[in-house]
Amino acid sequence: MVNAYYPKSADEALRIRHAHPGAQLVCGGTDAMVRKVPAEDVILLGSAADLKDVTREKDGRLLIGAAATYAQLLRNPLLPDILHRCITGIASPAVRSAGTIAGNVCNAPPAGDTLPVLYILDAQAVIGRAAEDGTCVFRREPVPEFIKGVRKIDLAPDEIVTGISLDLPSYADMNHRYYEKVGARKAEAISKVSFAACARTASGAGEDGAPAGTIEAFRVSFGSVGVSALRFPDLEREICGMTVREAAGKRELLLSRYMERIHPISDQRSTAEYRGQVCRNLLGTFLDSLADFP
Amino acid sequence: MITFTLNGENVSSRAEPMDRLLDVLRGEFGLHGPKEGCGEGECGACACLIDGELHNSCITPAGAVQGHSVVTLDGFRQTPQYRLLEETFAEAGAVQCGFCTPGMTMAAQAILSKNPHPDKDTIREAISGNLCRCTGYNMIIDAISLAAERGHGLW
Repeated sequence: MVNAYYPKSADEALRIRHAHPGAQLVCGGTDAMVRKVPAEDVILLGSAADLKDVTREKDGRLLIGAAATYAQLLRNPLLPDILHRCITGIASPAVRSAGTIAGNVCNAPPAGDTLPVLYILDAQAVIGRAAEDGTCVFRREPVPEFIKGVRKIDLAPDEIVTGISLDLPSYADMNHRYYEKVGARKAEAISKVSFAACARTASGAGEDGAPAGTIEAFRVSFGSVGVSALRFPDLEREICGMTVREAAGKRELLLSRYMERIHPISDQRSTAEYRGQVCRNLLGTFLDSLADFP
Repeated sequence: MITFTLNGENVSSRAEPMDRLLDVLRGEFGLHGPKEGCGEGECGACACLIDGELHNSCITPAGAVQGHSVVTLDGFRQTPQYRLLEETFAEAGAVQCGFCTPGMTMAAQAILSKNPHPDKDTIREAISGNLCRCTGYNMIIDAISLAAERGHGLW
């Protein structure tokens, strides 16, 4: 006999989880129903209307409620195009009717489709907890830190991820955007490699006098080739400040620097060699595209 | 008890919240429209509509339909939209063994109710979660396209 709870709000969900620490959290169920992990207490988050909200935060970040389904998000014009593109490639229409971004983050599978996009959008998990007196407190953790390993997250038994927050303002400034999911099919495929990237290049002489074609921002993330998505801010910082021409001249060096850090595995879907080559190709294509001014 | 609307009727189920909706529909309510093809949410044979949206009932927790409206092929069959799809599926040769057909029909209803005049690429995407081992898909796409053409105000 399983105890099911249907909270009507995020706060109610947090109080229930406080009363039943470790209760199974289910929203769409697209992962939980396949993995079939038994639980005594289940909290069904889809009944909490405020968990479906998508709202602009004070600093311009976009807060996506934990229970907002992929289908709902595809209809929401507030979401950045790169995330729409990513979601369109997830599973199938029926799975998108139920699945959620927060679910993808909390399951933390190495091939999680949303993860590379979330990484380049500087996404944060918004995590709530009910205190003894029933008030709810929230903390934020960057998603790359929140994900600790394969299917391992930094979530205490009395906590619930109530939303995922994205840095929209800095993404809005990017004039180069790229997303690619490489899989066996256009739909219903676990990716062999996925790639999300954005960059800002200045053309002509900018207001601050930056020379023509300077790379002012550069973010790339690779999926399915590590324990979680991969992003290397140190390599990105090296590239920022280069002109596009300079980066083009150092193309092979930059690709090698990245490939030294990426160690794909061979599994039933693909080989390490193929994945490595595809990562290299995608990064190279993105680097080359910086010379195209939109 | 899980209470919801099933093919237009208010019902209650004794299912556990994490029981598969597919088993509730087939076992408890005797509705054999949705079928189990894979049990993993990949083949679409179990597809039904929840609040008008396509869902795979084999990976839907029974508890998730509390307070919602579920329509299976068994209920959809009574509608004029179904009758047209039945006609065009037959005409286009879109049914061979028939196992994928209920799911394909629900997927067709899902897209046509959102977009009454979908192009072929839109139809392909709409059935991208439904696997067919017999037809090679083109006849199914033709059938849905034909239904849209003849639909005149049905969707």
